[in-house]
Parts: sequence; structure tokens; C-alpha cells
Amino acid sequence: MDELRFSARVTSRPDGQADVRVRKRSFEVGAPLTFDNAYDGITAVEQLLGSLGADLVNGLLNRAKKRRVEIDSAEATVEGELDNALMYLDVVGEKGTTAIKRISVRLYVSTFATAEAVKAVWAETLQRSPLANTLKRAVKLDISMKIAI
Amino acid sequence: MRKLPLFPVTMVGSWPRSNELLRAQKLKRAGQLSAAEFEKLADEAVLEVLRLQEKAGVDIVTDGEQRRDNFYSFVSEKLGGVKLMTLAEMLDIIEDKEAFEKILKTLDVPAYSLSNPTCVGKIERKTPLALNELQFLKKHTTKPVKIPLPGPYLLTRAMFVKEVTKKVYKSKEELAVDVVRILRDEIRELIEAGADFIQFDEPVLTEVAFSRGKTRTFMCASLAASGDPTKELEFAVSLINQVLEGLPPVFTGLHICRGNWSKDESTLLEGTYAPLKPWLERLNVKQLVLEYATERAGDAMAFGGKSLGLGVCNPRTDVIERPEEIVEMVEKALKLYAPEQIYLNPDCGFGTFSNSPVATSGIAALKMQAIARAAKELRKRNKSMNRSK
Repeated sequence: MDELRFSARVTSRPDGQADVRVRKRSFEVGAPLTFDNAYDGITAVEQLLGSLGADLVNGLLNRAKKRRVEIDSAEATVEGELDNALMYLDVVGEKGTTAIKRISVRLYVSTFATAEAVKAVWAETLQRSPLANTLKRAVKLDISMKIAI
Repeated sequence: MRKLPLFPVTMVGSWPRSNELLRAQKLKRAGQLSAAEFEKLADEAVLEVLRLQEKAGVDIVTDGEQRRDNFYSFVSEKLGGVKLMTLAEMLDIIEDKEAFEKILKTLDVPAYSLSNPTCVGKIERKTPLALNELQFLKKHTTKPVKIPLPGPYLLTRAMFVKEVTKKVYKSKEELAVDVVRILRDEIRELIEAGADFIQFDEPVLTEVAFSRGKTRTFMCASLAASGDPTKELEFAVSLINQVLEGLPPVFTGLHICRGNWSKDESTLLEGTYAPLKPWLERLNVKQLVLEYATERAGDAMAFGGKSLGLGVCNPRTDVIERPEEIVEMVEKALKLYAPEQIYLNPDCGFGTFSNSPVATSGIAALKMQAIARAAKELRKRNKSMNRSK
């Protein structure tokens, strides 16, 4: 079924960035990853982490709306840890892979709704998250949620 | 100040806000509730906090900072040239994003939940900072009133966010001139209106002294990249003394603590007052309001020429301190201070940040009751000691 497939067209640019076109929108992504804080681009790894956070934050808010649970705002911090970063830097003698071995997500929810209502919506969100459900098959995925007023 | 019993019991400042008041704060910020409607709700909240303090036996009351979102950022509503910015907004403009991310992670809070009063224009007092709080309390209590105010160092350091402030003030020292002037005007009015106790909150002094080489934890913009602690402490002393110089006499205090944003003590700063002592003794305040219930603060020590606001209960724990424990703490302090030099208070507020209070109203009330019971016992002991002399 075509509606189950999603695609992006990614085209390289001379400046080391890539243009990503999806449907009628586009955005740019830089190097696979960087250890340089001054690097002027968004890396593929950062995009992945940001996408997972957005999946959960927006997923939660959409689901809360459906269930009529009032949520003022939500914010996620997402951290990924590489198995061996030195492999990416071609350090001779290093073993392991450049895979992300662990991702941790801390989600903050601002709401006056009851904790039970928020937890129920959160459970539904996790159950239906495309990215969280995909990533948990490949990496150790730690996800926690904190309610703050 | 009016005559007080020995070992007067007082608050540091804040009391946990009700959900109704927190919701109203949010609606007001979003422009969905008028200031007048908010004040009406806040009046009721203050009266309830006042009732709880009076019932507990508090001798010097506060309004529980019910009208404020926290102990310092509320000034953004009162001052022209100051914008309340959430950390989420500040992350877009500041250079040292990594340091801010570390702070947020340590505090375990979202960026939208913390706000900083950021100087974006020439600062001026649109309305008094706390005069309305004092006037309202005076109408409803006969007890002496304490007014906590953010100190000049805290305000200057928090408000000076170089990425936006430098367009108006070239340096933090230049901004401080206006901060000092504004606080002096405020204090003059508070004295005229009958404030009994004015307390400056300068918790960032512990950041300066204790967090070198560690992740900074206090939400105070420029401190994330501040320099030499000695220079910072000199700057702080000079500002506080400038604020008080030549003003009519009033009882003044300075409160410092090691953080009050989490019940997880391991995330808070640690260290005795020893490194701060030379600077604290030079402050022209009458009292140091210090935390001592937490072990992180070390043992009580004497400060030349100052009375002590002795922190005898930890606002972050759910266990209520026993009056006997409090009496024991005071007995130790009595080796360094005369009885009339000791006031009893919690280590800090119970709801420093309105959206993340460290205690419930119920716990706060029980802790204040325990302090008041201990004060009673201490007065009794002191009386019988005097008789036997």
C-alpha cells in the first residue's frame, strides 16, 4: 500500500550540506556527526535525535487533544551515545562500531491535568510512536516523563 | 523593628501556591486574565498564607511571595526595559548554549519552565517592586512584616545578558548603577510604609563560591560564564552596601543558600560559609539569614557584628523536624551568639519557584509549627536560666 511508504529525496551540495526534499517541503542536513561545537550545520545524528523528540512531543500533544486532556506544553531532551566515537574518526586500532548504542529521552509535560490522565495519554503515545517503536528494536531506548506545572 | 519575643520565628519568603493561583499566573502571562483579576485571586491566597503563618505561631510574617512567579523574575513586570524570557527563548540568543543545557540537565527542568528577567532597554521603575505586598499585609495583620527583595548583585547578574543588554548598557557595572538606584528608591518607600524587616536574596553568592569547576546550577544568565570569584564577591558587597548607604534605619538581612530547586540534595551545592565570611562580614546588613538544617552548609559559625537568621528546618524534606531537634540546633548556635541575636527560620522558601515548589502547603505549615514550638521551649529555658542567675 503506497500510503504506508514515506520517502525523502536527499541531494548533495558543494558546501557539504545536503538538501532533503519531502512532499512540498525541504530542509538541510550536514555531516553525519560532528565533535566540533562550532560546526555550522545540523548533523544527521542530531536530526535523528530531534526527530525522535518531536515524534514524542507532538505525538503526546495530538493524542492529549483527542482525549481532551489539557496539556500546556511539552519539551523533550534527547541524548544519544555512540558505541565507539573513535571509529568515526578513523583512529587506528579502535574496535566496535559507530552505531548509536543508547538513546535516552526525558520528556517534560506542563499540565494541570491529573497525573493518571497524562500517564494514560503518554502510554498511548509511546505505543503509537513510529520512531520510538523502530528505534527500540535497534538501540537501548530509555524514555522517562516528568510532569511539571 | 517592633519589640519581638526572643528567638523570633520568621519565614525566608515563599509559600507554595495553590493550583488555582498557578493557573491564574499562567493565564495572566498569556494575556487571558487581567492584572486586576489576578490580584484579586492573589489577595485571597495571601490571606490564606497569612492565616496559616499566624496559626503556626510565626512572629514576623511574609506574604508567601504569592504574587510572584519566583523570588526575582517578578521584577520584569515592575520594571521598564526588562523582558521576562524563558530559557527556551534565551537559548536562541546566547552564545554559550552548552553551559545552559548543562544547567537545565542538572536542574532536570524544561527550558520553558525557567524565566529570566533580561535587560533589553534602559531600566526604570514602572511601579514599586514590593510596596503593594507590604501595604496589603499591613492592612491584614498586626504582626511585623518581612519583605524579601532580590539583591542588587542577583538582579544585575541575572538581567545583564550581554547578547541583548550591551546595546543599552556597555557593562554590568553600568547596569548596576541603575539597579542600585531602583532598589534605594524601593527601600525608602518600604521604610516609609512601615516595613519591619527587609531581606535581600542573594543566593547566587554560593554559586560564586562553591561551583568553580563544576556545572553551574543557578538560573542566572551571565553567571554561566562569569570569572574570578573574588572580583564577583567584591562587586556584590559593593552593590549591597551602596543600596543601603545613608538610608533611614531599618532592620535588614541577607539570605543566601545553596539552591532550592530540587528535593534531590545531591544536585544542590555544598560547602561551609567559611569562604564567604570575609565578604559577608563587610555587608552593612544587620542579619545573615542562613541555611543550617541541611548538612551541606556545615556547622554554625559566627559573623562579626551580625545577628543570625538560623535555618532550622529543611524545606525540601517531607519529614517534619522535631521541636527538640530544633532546640538542640539553637543550643549549639547559642555558643556563638547571644539569645537576642538568633531568629529562627527555615533554610529557604517553601515555594521558591512557583511552578516547582519543594513542599506542599501542609508540610510548610507543620514545619513552621515545629519551629514555633521550639521557640516557645527556648524562651522558657532562657527565662528560667535568667531567674537562676
